Amino acid sequence: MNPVPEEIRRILASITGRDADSIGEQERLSDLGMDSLDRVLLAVLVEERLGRALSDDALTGIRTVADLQQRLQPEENRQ
Amino acid sequence: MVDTIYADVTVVGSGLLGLSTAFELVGRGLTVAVVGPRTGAYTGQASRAAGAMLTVFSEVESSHPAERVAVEVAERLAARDGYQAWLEQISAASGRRLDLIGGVWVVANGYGDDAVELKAIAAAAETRGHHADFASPREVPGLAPQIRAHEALWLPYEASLDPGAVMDALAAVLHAHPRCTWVDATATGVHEQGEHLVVDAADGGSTMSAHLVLAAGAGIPAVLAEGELAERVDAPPLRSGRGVSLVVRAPFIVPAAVRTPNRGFACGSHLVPRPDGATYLGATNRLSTEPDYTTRPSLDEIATLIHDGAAELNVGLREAALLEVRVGHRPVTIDHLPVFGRSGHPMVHLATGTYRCGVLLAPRAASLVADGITNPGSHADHPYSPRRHITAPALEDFLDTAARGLVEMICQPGGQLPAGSEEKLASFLRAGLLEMSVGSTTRAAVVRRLWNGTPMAECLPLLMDAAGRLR
Repeated sequence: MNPVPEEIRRILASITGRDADSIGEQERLSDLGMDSLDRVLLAVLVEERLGRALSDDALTGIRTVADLQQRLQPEENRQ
Repeated sequence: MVDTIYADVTVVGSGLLGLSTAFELVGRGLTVAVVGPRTGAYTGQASRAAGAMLTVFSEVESSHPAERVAVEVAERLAARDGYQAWLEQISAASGRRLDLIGGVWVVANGYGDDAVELKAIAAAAETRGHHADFASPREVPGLAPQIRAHEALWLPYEASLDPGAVMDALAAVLHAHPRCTWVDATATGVHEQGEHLVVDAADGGSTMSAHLVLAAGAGIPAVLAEGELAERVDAPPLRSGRGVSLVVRAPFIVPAAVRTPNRGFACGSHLVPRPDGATYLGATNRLSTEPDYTTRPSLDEIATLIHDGAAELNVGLREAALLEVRVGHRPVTIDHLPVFGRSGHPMVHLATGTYRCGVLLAPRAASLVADGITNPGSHADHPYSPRRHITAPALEDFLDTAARGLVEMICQPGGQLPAGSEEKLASFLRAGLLEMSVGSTTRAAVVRRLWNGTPMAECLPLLMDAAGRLR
């Protein structure tokens, strides 16, 4: 299992109010209490802080923290 | 090991639009594979949560442009004209009785501009040669609201039905039909293989067919996902209006459906008779940028339903026994018109985007979509064609009129702001949202992204919500 990068955890924490350290890779975004509006906030914050664009279609495919992490890996490392 | 099923057409989606389309296609001699849940709780399925009123005229709003009213009423009228015969066809095939309950009452109580709404609805009916009879609210059976009703309108050509009964009858016919195979699982993806389209299902099964009909409503973007096929299909953006509804045993009788006009972003309150003396109470409407299928109805949604229903329709609802709570996601496009027929990909067809009128429009969708398969090229210029051009409106144009709707939404029916403060609050919200939509702050980026993705009036409550969530 890969550790969730600090900046991704911080973004998720700022949206959900959860403690950043408690956010695990296997958690579903819906289990973190995120609804569709929170997912839009996520896309905007990811773009602002990490410089990575997430389209609406890409967002639809992201269910878990691990999915998000996978999406945000550099292109050449993507599976 | 689950086999691949071969068929002329695969229909993805087992709501009323999917089943109607499959029924039409087998009737035209084609083999059909249906992919979608046949059993289970149908969580999130709009058809099962629907009030199922055949609202040809009462969905008209005074603010709708005349051109839109003309197109929509003509299509709904075409659907209504053939509805009885369509139900009889399903009855004959299934051996089950399917009844329409004639007429719908629309009630005005001074909320917003109700009187204007009733006039617009009556005009839509009368200009097409149908009755729209104004009456005193005292004449409306089952109406006993907390807020005094001013006026009522009886629309005898509208009707209501039990959508579950129609779906069960269609499901029974299709399940037993020699030309239909049903994959009782959610579709997880679609791809092309040579000249064919392959649909993968959650149970590991798949279908392969020459044509594909996407009728999974707000779930379609997730099935299509990203990629070349989605680009060729080029479906208009699909959003969903999440709606919660109740079925109750009420201490009063509603012989025919009673509704308010549409309420800005919400869809108003309505009581619809169901078999065995039960009564349907609907419905909330909240736009989702993606459908939250796994999110159960919240107590707030249920409380809103009961509050609005008691305030506007019958205070006796508070004594009613709760039988069922349902949640559905009404598929909607940004121009609010359905998408029926061939997409940008010649073998992929869409049957969705019906918003509040899916039950009424189901047979119409089925025949337009089937025509696109058996008679390619037909209906290419239809106003509901997926290939139509959709223009996105500007935020400031909407805010001028819609900020008032935000205030009404916050107050809920029966809620009162101090005299004179409503206009001020509306102006403040209009100015605040406009200010927020420009500049380089995170909030501005969120507001712009939301609006650009979902440029429709129903997005305004989301803008307010999202802007407030950012700390």
